Amino acid sequence: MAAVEPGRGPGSVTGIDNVGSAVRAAAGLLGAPDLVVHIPAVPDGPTTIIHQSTEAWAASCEAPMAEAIGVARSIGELTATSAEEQAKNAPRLVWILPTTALGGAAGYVGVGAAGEGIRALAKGVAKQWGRRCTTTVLAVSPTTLFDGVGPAEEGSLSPPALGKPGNTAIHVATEIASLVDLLADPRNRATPGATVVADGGTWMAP
Amino acid sequence: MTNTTSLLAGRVALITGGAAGIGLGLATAMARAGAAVVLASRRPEVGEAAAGDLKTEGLDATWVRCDVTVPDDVSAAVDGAVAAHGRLDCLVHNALDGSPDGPVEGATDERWATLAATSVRASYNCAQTAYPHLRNTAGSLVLLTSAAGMEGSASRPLYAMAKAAQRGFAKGLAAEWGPDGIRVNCIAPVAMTPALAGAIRHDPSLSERLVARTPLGRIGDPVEDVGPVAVFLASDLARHVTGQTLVVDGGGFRGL
Repeated sequence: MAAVEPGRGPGSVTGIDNVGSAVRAAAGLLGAPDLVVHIPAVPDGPTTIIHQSTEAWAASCEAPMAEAIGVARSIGELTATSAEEQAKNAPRLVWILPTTALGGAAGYVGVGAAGEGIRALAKGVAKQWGRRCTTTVLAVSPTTLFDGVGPAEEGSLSPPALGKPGNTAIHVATEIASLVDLLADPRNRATPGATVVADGGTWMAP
Repeated sequence: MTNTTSLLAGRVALITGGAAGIGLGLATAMARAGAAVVLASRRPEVGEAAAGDLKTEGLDATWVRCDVTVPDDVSAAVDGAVAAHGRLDCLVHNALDGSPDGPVEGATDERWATLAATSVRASYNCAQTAYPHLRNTAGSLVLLTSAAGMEGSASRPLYAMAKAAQRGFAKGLAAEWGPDGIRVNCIAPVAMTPALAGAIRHDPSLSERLVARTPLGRIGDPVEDVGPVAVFLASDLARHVTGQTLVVDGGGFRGL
C-alpha cells in the first residue's frame, strides 16, 4: 500500500497519502470501520546494516512507518465527528508488531526502529484521540510474523512459559485472533496506547 | 562541573548537529574531557564560530560542513575526522529537523520524509560510514532521542515517532555490533537549548510546567548536565553498557 522511491534524503518516502487513499476507499465501499488491524510488512530475512542497500533500508524501516502514519491519519479523519457520534461508534485500531520492536535484533535494525516508532505513534494518537478511537499494540513472537528465518526470540534466558507456538496459522487463528477480539470489544476502553505482549511468556514486560 | 578531564584523552568524537544546542553541549563536555571533537553541521557561520569558541578555551575542536541526509557529506565528515586525527572513537548523531508537527490528521509525506531523513536515514548513513572506524577503536555510537519517543506525544506525534525509532535503531544495532566491540546507546535529554528557550518565549507557561514535572526542580544545562552523560557513554566507564537509553531530564520521565 505504500510506494518507496529509492533515493536519498527528503522526498524518498511517499507512502502516507497512498495508504490514506486506500483506507478512505475501503471506508467508502464498506462504511466507517469498527476495527482496523494494521500489520506492517517485515523483510524476508536478516541483513546487517553495513550490507543493506539504501532501498532495502527504506523498505524495512521508513516505509512501514509511513504506512502506519497513513493508517493513523485516515482513522483520525474518519473519526473526526461529534462527541456523541464518537461515543457510539468509536472504532478500534490494533497494530500487530514483532517483539523485535521491544528488544531489537541483529540483522533487523530497521524492523526494530520502525516498531519502536510505531509504538510511539500509537501512544501519541491514543493521547490525541481519547474516546474517538482506542488504539493498542499487540507485540507477538517474531515467528508469528516472519516466514522462514526471522529474528531470534529476545528478552529471556528461559524458553517461553507456554513453549514455542506450534503451527503458525493455528496460533494466529486462535490465540492472536482472540486477543484482537478482546481488544476490539466495545467494553475495552482501558488500553489506549498500551502494548500488550502476546509472545507466550518470553518477555513478560514491562 | 564534575571533573571529567582526561576520561576521553586521546579520543576523537564527531558530533552531528554539534554547533548549537544540545549537540554543542555534548561537544563542549567531550572536549573538556580531553577528546578532539569534530562539529558536523550545515551552516558555516554557526559551525566555525562554535569551533572557534572551543579553541579559545584551549580545546581541540574543528568544524566540518555536513548535511546528515546526504551520504557523501557524512562520509566526507567521518573520513576527514579520521584523516586529521588518525581515528574515530565516538560518533554522536544529534542533528534533527525539529520543525513542529501537529495532530496526525495533518501529517504529510513531505513532513515525514524530512523527519525520517534526519533521524533514521541519517542514523543509517552514520552507521554505515562510521562502522570500520568504530570497529578499529572498539568505539561507540550515541544517538539522541527523547522521552517523547517513550511516552508518545499528542501534539508532536511524528517527532515522537522519529525519536522512538532512534531507540529501536540503537537496540538492534547494539545486538548487531556487540560482537565487534562497538557499543550503541541513546541519550534522552531535556535541557535549556536555544530551541527550548524560543518555545518558552512563545509559551511562557512551558517553563513552569516542565519544572513542575521535574523532581530535581530545574531544566538541565546542555554542557553541565547532559554533556557528562555523553562523556560517560564514550568512555571506558561505560564499556559494558550498550543498547540502553539514559534519560537525562532531572527525573521528569521515569517510565522505563
